[in-house]
Amino acid sequence: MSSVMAAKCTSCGTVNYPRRPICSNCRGRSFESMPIEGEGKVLTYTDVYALAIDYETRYLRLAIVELDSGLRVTGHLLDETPELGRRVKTTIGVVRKQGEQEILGLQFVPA
Amino acid sequence: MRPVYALSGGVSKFSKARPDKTFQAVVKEAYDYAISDIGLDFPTFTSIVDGSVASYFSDHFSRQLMAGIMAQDYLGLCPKPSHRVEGGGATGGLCFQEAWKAIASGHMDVCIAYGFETMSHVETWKGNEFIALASDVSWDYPVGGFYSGYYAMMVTRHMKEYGTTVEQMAHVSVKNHINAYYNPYAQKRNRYSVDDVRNAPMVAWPLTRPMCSPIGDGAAAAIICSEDFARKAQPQYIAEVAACCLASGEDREAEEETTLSKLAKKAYEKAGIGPEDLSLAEVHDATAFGELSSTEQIGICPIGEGGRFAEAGHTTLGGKIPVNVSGGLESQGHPVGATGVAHLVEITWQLRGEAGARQIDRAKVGYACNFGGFGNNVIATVLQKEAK
Repeated sequence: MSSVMAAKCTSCGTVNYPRRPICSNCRGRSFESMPIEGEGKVLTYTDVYALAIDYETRYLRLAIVELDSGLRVTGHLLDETPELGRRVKTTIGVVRKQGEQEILGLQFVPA
Repeated sequence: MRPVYALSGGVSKFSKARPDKTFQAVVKEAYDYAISDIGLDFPTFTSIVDGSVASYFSDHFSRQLMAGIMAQDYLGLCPKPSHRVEGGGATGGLCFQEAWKAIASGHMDVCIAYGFETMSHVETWKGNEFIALASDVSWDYPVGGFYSGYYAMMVTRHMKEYGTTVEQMAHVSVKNHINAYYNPYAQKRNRYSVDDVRNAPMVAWPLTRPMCSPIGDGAAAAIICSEDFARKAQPQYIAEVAACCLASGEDREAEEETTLSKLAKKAYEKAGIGPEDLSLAEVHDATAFGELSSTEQIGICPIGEGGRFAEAGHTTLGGKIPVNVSGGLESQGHPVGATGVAHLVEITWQLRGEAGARQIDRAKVGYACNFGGFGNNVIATVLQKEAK
């Protein structure tokens, strides 16, 4: 199964996401790949109605989730009754279709 | 570094579309306005000005590379030096700062900064998509968020943390549309009630259409110069660029110190003033929340109080510190490359006492805050009028 990867600094342990060549905390340059997964809480969310023309949905529910590791990530929230602070877990799914091409990305479902 | 003076400014009519003119001709509207305000004719100014800085945000909109130089040629300014700057939403502010640098360094005595954008050539959703390309195309953009979505997520958090309400944001929008009603150059000169704003079509919950800046066409130009030139050209009105600061950063949450708030402190220190000294502020209300949050970040009101401060009417014309008397991005319009320059033009008009029906009584000091992304590129400029 595919996953979205972050980079964990081998000297200070800070998780850098998006990945970068120099650690945002200690300026270290060596990392190990770490899949973004697990549980966290919804920090904030919105329903975006003004979408690009190729979306086949009325709106898109976007959220920023703070994972238990402290990492904050953006993705689609698959929750009919969203609430700030609710526990969710990550999954990977199709976040956008461009013609035949499917783009995979982070999604969140209630934990 | 020597002191720099703001001489005059002009804008074109901002509107949904300008099918009547090419972008060069729209720039010339703003340019002619700025020149006529210092009482010079076109040939005289052309012989005096040392160079220019051009700004526009996206090549995609006009499908024209090197549009800055094309405007330069159209204005008859070749072979004088000119270059284009770009910094997302902060594009116009950067343009002004580049001109400021040219004067401050002694490189030029008179410089004109002009910014423009013609966004009407594409449909609104496509325009939103072009703007969304300013978010990280590998990580943020594919998830499908347009900028209104990113803003909306900041709003939801602010509501939870500080009890900010949708109604308070609607007040910001209503106020800005009223201001624009008195600005003949504004794009959206509508009278709205709080209910009108709340019941308008949803863009990204809880932001409705009148709470978001529109897509549009327009240009703005500002002339700045050395002290000698300012005193000679226009002794009756002298205004110094008391601060012009730029910073980059990646902002997280309102409660932490942000790029905006840190830069504001720096700008106040440079200008030797505090937020209480401001006669007016022009801030980056790409959405109503942009204004609400900016008033907190630049110290006009405490963190978390932006909503209540706006609702109480303190930011209206005649309030404690009028904010976005031009109508702001929401109502004056947001042709991206022109926006930051237009902030400075409005402040210049206010300090000159030429703002017509929206004139602030005895305006002395104006603060412009223009940013790209969410504090990724922030520019703070203070204009201060010399006491007679």
